[in-house]
Parts: sequence; structure tokens; C-alpha cells
Amino acid sequence: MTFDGSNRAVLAKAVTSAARAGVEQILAQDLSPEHEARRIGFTGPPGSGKSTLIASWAEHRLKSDRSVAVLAIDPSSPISQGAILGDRIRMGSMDTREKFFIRSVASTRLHDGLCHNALGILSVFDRWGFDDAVLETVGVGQTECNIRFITGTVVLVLPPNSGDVIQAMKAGIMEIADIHVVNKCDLPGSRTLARELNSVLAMRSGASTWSPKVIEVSSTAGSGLGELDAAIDEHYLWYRENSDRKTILRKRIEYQLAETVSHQFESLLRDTDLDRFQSLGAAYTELLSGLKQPDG
Amino acid sequence: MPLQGKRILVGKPGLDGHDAGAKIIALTLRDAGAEVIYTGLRKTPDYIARVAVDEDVDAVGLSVLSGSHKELVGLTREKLDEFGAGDIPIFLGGTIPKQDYQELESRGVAAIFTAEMPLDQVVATIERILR
Repeated sequence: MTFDGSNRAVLAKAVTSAARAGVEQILAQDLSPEHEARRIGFTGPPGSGKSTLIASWAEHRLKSDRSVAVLAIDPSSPISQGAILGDRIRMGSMDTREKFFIRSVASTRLHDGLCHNALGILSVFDRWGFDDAVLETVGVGQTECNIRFITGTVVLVLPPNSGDVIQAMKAGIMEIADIHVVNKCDLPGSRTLARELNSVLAMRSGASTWSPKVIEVSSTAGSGLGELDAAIDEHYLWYRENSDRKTILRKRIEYQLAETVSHQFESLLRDTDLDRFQSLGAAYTELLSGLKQPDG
Repeated sequence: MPLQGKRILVGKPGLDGHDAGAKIIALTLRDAGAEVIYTGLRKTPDYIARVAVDEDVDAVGLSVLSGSHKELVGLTREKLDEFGAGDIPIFLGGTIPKQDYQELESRGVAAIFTAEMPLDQVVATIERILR
């Protein structure tokens, strides 16, 4: 199937099926398909402007007749498991265009900024022939780095005034971004942040031959989008030339197995009456043995 | 949670600019376990139906205070049917006069909520519709 705007309902059902996949369906997924959309992850703290930025960038992108699919993840309530999926409201008039598709998904119980079977949802976009597949994480803090393993290009979106040099030197999310966007650069504090990011990135001597970029963008003023688009293109070319397919696939397998086990473990835990166990050890043993059974 | 795993779109079609009610319903549904997609103000029935299809929702809730609920509900229903989502139920809230209920129901509205209806009754009704 190729997405042509008229078959959205069929695509929508395929995405739902992936989003609700059980163990067997997940284990049967092809993690390294023949056609793979360019996978771009947008991550960053809550309110940094990820959704608006994605919409502005995608609009830029669609002008060159590319098709873009977005998986937008918002947090689930730890109390009710419900969610307000509000990313698409930022994407305004974009979101019913013929070559643009958005699906909003709740994070459920995951704590890594992603959602259940994100890899499976991205591979639906592959199968449907999208040129670009964008993943927008939940608003994250410093440690949610799994997006690195499931997307090719990671764009970290930061609002102005989000910390100084020491923040930028910390381990975690600052290390995994290929492109740092200082967003809302029409606001005060953005120039300083961009300068400090650049100075810290220049001190880094990683093994990678890619030098992470810092780009100032304002969706409101419409500035920096061309530069961001060019940087994403440039990184993708670099990624294609310099990354080892086997390593990428192994990381995806690791991620998928860990996510599948933890997803299954969480639902087992929820459905198990812990009071009937004499000890933590007994509960642990039984829960682990429960994992051996695919839940279908 | 009664609405766990359900996906519900809350939409504001037409030109009225008051969405306090829609937001209260969105939060109530969230607290009942649903995943809620809120469209924001002043959307067309065409837009709402497209988003409902893309998001593969289980139900569409419309909030209308402008008085044009008959037209907006009818158009949304038509668009949903046109896009192959004829099975998605619509519920309606806002300022809806009693004398319009019958006609609205004949146009495919599964439930109508008034401002004075207790929120747990709203949740229970939606739960029943989606069962």
C-alpha cells in the first residue's frame, strides 16, 4: 500500500493494530524493511515547541513533494491511564493535507518518552511508502535516550533560557542529539544558549565523525526552518554513509525485546494479586514464568 | 477505569468561541481512562471527520453553543460516513433545546448531554454506547 491521501482510513487501522500489538505480532515484525522512511526523532522538554516546530518543518518539507507521517506521543495519566493527546492541535491546518498523516498516541506506562511498539508503528509508515517518518516524544527531561535507537536523526528541541554550560555538559540527552534546535529564538536568552551549546559541543571529542549542529529556529517568525531542513538532510546523508546497518538492527532488536518484556511484565503485575505470595522471591519467580507465555 | 483504552475525539465545530464545557468533558474522559484528542476551537465538520479517521477514534463528541447544532451534527455525520467511518458514534453537548432531541437522534446522535448533567452520568452513558 502507498499512502495517497484517499486511503487514510486503512492506514489509520493499520497504525491502531500496531499500537495495540500483542507479543506474537511484535515478534513477527520486520525490523529492517526494504523501504525505510527517513526516521527523524524530535525530543525535548515539555513546552519547548516540538509539535509546532514539526508542523512548520513538515510544511517546508511538503513543498518538495515529500510525504510525511508523524507519530506524536503524549503522556498517559499515572492515575487513570487516560491522556489528553494535544500535539495535533499545534499542527493546525497542516494535519489533513494529502501527503501528511499524524497519529497521536499515549505513552501508557513507558517512561522513556516513547509509546508501546513505537518501532512497529514506524514500520507501518515504512510499508506505506512514506518518505519521512517523524517521531515526537513525550516532553522529556535529561535521561530519555531510547529515541536514539529507533530513529536515524535525533533533533533536540530546547527553549531559550534552558540552562548554562554545565547543563550542556551533563551526560544524557545532550549527548545523543545530532541537531540541537534553540527554539523560539525570537525570545530573549536564545543567542546565549546557542553560543554555550556550541562551545560545549566543540570541546567534545567523540568517536563520531558527525559534529552536532546548533540551529536557532522560530516557528512564529518563520526563521531557521530552511537551515533545519538542510541540517536534517545533511545528517541523513552522513548517517546513510557512516552507520553500520548491523549495529542499528541489533540496537532495534535490543530495544524491541526490552520494551516487549517490560510491557508484558507491567500488565502481568497489574493483573496479579501480590497478596497471595509469601515472599518477594516467590512473586518474582511466578511473574517471570508468566512472561514465557506470549499474550497473543 | 470505565473508558480505559477508548479513544475519543472532542471537537468544537462552527463559530462559537466557548470551550470551557468541551475542556471539562475532555478532562473528565481522561480521568475515566480515555485517550482524548481535542481539536480546538472553530473547526469544520470536514476537518473533525478527517481527524477522527486518522486517529481511528471510538467516538466523536461535539460541543456546540451557537445554535447551529443540527447543521453541524448532520455535516459531521455525512463526512464521517463519506470517509468510511460510519460506525463511529457521535455524542453532543452544549445548548441544545429539548425540542431538537428527536431530530438530532434521527440524524445519528447517540447521546445528548446538557450542562446540568452530572459528569459521572456522562461517563456512564459513553461507556454504555461504546460497550
